[in-house]
Amino acid sequence: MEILREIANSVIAGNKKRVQELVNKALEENISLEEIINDGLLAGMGVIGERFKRNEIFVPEVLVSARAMQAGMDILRPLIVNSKGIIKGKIVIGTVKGDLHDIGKNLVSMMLEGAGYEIIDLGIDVSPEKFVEAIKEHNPDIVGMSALLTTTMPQMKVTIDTLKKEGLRDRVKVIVGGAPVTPEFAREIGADGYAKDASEAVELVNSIISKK
Amino acid sequence: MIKIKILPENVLLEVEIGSNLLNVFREKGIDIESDCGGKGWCGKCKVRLAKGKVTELNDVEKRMLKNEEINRNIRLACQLFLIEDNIEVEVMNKNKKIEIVTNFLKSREGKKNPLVRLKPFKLEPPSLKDQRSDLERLSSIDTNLHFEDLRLLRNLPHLLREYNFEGKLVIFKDEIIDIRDRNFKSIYGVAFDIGTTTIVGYLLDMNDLREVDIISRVNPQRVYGSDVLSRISFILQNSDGVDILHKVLIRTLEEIILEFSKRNHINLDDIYAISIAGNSVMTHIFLGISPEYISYSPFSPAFRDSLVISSREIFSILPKAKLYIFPLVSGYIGGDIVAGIIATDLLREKGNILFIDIGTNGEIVLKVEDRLYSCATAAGPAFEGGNISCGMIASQGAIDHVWLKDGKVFYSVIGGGEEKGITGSGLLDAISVMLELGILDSKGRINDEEFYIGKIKITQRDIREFQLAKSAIRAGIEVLMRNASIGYDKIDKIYIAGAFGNYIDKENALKIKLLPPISKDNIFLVGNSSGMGAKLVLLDKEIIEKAKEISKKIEYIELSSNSEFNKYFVEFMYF
Ligand code: B1M
Repeated sequence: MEILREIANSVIAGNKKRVQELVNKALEENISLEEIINDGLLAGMGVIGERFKRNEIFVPEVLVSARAMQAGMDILRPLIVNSKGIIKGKIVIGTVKGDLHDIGKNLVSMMLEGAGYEIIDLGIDVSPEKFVEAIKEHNPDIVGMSALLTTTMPQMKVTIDTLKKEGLRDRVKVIVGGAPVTPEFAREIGADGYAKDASEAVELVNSIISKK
Repeated sequence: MIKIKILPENVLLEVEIGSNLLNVFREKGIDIESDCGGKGWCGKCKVRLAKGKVTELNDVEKRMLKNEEINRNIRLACQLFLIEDNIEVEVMNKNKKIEIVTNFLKSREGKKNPLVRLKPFKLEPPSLKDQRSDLERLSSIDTNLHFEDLRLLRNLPHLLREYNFEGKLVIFKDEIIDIRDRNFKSIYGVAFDIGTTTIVGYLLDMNDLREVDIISRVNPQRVYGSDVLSRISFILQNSDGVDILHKVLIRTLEEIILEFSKRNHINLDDIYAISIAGNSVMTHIFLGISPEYISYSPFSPAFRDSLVISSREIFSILPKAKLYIFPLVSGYIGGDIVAGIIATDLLREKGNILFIDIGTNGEIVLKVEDRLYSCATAAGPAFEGGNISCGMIASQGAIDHVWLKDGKVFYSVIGGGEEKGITGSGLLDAISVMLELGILDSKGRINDEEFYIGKIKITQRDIREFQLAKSAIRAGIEVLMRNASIGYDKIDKIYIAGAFGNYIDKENALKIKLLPPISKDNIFLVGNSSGMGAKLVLLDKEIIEKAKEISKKIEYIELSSNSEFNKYFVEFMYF
């Protein structure tokens, strides 16, 4: 549908106002929420993810597009009665204890949101206890941890060990990422997955969720 | 024990079976690049396995090495364990001979008030009528002087009599630290700038208050990782980590001191004062204090005030000297910055001045009227050539400048010869040239598939890394300006310190928006301001008070919790 393609293109262009206009227009035309979200907003973010991965665009462009996508989502969210087919899964995410870097984690969150997931962002400096609480409260499918410092990476293991101790480890899949994190480290600490960048994070989450 | 031979020097070592190769290199003091400190994400510690069997190629190596390298038996030292006798390996990347900046923009006249000096004395020998103690006799020369050293007290009675109650006092600040004979003349001081990457020592003649010699070295801790956090990470993982890093550092400082002594025919015993300016982490390690708690939030250092200690606590070769350690401001604004503020005389200069020390961390100080604002921003290694596909630290074979003439690209290579890589300053120029030629757009996208400078390819990823580093510095500057409520037109001068800072082209730095828009004539590349500050304190003891004042006065703005930082960081990623 032309209007959905236009929504996607406006997300790609990062034109927040245009996205809002078009989403409202699409609603007036009685296009289904599922279609507006999947074929409009998320389709646009998918393209952005691809371009980011190929280094064609960088952090500022992704953020602008993500904001445009979110503006559209904000209109639609209150209208969602049945989230089936719209929300693909729930993810709790945070930057580990002692670490205050959040730009990369935010990008990952936005990209995941742009791929149809519900994100509960615990922010920065998140202690293992806070992860535990959030899992108990939100019952997510996946827990994501980000670390940008070589000295806070060990906190990822501490968190995983705490989840084990609390008997929560089997209830969630754990994924990790951040510049100094390597796939070998992820395996070593017993995480279920590692992603190098935001679009890889989407692929990883998709594959984990599809196996569920 | 098994034998291993290191090529091409044919160094033969005996090591424990099962040892990790990078650890062997570290322990035996064999030079190899290792930016990440063995975490498996930099791929720098390449060796060629020429003979023998080691553990099998693992996933890290498969990920980091090209097929062509694997075929040539290239491996990563950090991933290798030595499991058989008679192994031969060749180190591929040695730590380069780094171009070390030792000079400072302006020569500064120290006041004639040196930190350590000689004072002649002549005392009445004791008699039955005058039975005062030796110490009272000595103290009567000048009541402002004090005496603390038990070792000296032990020798005092003999010395006074040997010298016939006439000689010279060696005075550090106001403390009598030694007694010499009356013909004794020459005393010396050594100033150290201890950087994460490089170390510079300056030998000063404390009699004529002049510089006699300079020696610079690569920081030997580099085999434990290129940035301070990798070093701390090593400390966190090894119970004797602080000790190990402390020892390799002190060994190198002692080598410099010994070299000074040999080259200039100076007695080690005649060196009486040492000053130390280093970032907070280096200062902690110098003192043998764990910097662990600096490395994660809330980043608290073990101490901040300046210290004066006996040199024998640190240096076995200097039993009688005193050490002065510059005060710190915070976990990421250290004594090197306080020394730099002193060297540039920031507090006394008129107008609003920005002082920036650019390395893997960018420390920024903004002086507005009589206030000092500071922040530490995390640039990352791009300015030192780290994380850049063909990046190199400023050393032989590195492209350090690139420019356009009549539409054609020209470049210069350090030491002449063929280009092997590119430095941060070279990359900065290259980006400016690419923007000029329209090859790069203002968002940082390369339009052409490939761009070469000589044989060196600049990739899209390199540009992205550079954007992060550049913007982190610029965003830090913006946050300080907002805190001080001043606009661009109110900045009178910019001083740029640090190795990278010494080589940058001012015009290009303005063009790519690393620096705020001011006239390039008001931008000064000052060189090694930390080393200069360390020298000045030896020449003028009042600087101790000044340093104290600066470290108390300076306001530290934490960027980690600053919401404006992120806004500017994203904004200034563009060129
Ligand atoms: C859950 O699953 C996943 C999956 C994928 C995941 C994931 C989670 N999380 C991330 N990913 C992945 O996807 C993202 C998008 O593709 C990617 O995220 P990234 O975060 O990698 O990428 C972002 C999109 C862009 N990248 C960034 O945002 C990081 C950029 C650099 C410049 C950086 C910044 C901006 C900052 N810093 Co910091 N900082 C540096 C960085 C150096 C560099 N050039 O990279 C780095 C990381 N910092 C460092 C340091 C030392 C520090 N920093 C500090 C502070 C800061 C600022 C406040 C100034 C700022 C943070 C702002 C903020 N709110 O985030 C301090 C500590 C703060 C703390 N406790 O966290 C301080 C300790 C010191 C200081 N001087 O300030 C260094 C770490 C060195 C090391 N060996 O560990 C550093 C490499 C720079 C350096 N000096 O070398 C992937 O990693």
